[in-house]
Amino acid sequence: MQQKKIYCPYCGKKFSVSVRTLSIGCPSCYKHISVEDFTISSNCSRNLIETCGSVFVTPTGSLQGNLRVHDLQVEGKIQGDVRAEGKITLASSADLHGDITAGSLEVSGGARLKGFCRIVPAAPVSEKPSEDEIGTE
Amino acid sequence: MEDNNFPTIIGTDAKFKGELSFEKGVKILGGFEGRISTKGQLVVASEGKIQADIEAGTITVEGEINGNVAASELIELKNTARLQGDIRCERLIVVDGANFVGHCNVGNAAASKEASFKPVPSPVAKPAGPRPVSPSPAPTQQPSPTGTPIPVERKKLDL
Repeated sequence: MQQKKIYCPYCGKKFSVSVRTLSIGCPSCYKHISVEDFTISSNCSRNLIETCGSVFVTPTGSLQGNLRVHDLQVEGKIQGDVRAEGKITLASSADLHGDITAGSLEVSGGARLKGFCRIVPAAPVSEKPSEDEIGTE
Repeated sequence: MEDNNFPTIIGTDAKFKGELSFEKGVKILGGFEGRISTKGQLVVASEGKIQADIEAGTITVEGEINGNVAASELIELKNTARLQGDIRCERLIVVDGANFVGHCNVGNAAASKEASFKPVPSPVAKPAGPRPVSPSPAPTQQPSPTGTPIPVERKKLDL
């Protein structure tokens, strides 16, 4: 079964899970972690969307709220702060208004971005052998 | 990036302090402190260290910049780039490994605000002479029925 590596947003523990996993308990701090990917295709207002997966905002999508994700792809509108462990990609139709913290950032021509940015590449974490591999469906 | 595209190069052992303004490309491999203004392309090599505010058409950063950066087209931060300051441009690429902290204003509106580079200083404009004041007609007051002048009411503004 295909596995993917995720980081616990609470303790930073890195471990592997099945690609079909939707949520899991961290083996280190035992906190509940959402791993699923989200697609926002309409008007959405949430205080915080938190996941170790990816979030995709379609051109018709609009989000008012904060995000804490691994990867973010924006083709619509976001008004809120974003924290991504991985990459934030803004397509030409994207409009992001808020503070950004990410490992990398790509803003296409035509996209609008306004806010405080903190792009700091993640420090490399040494890989552990299979003792940390967990598969849960 | 060929050096032929850059008529101006500041070498690795050079340190420049002041204000640079160019039409074409600039490549900086050494140290620079002050202000840079160009309509062309600016490249900061991996060995480059800049402490300046920058305005350019296209900016490619592989070294270190401490200051505000504005581009009318593209700002690209390569994997060895370290930028601390505000960014304003139409298009932005921050590749894996780049380090950037500061305010970001990316988009058409942001670029158009920045589009006008600092103009060449023009001769000092003469101060405008005194404006001709046309004689204003004397205020006419309708005599009150009692013969005393009518007090002018002033509206109190609530601020």
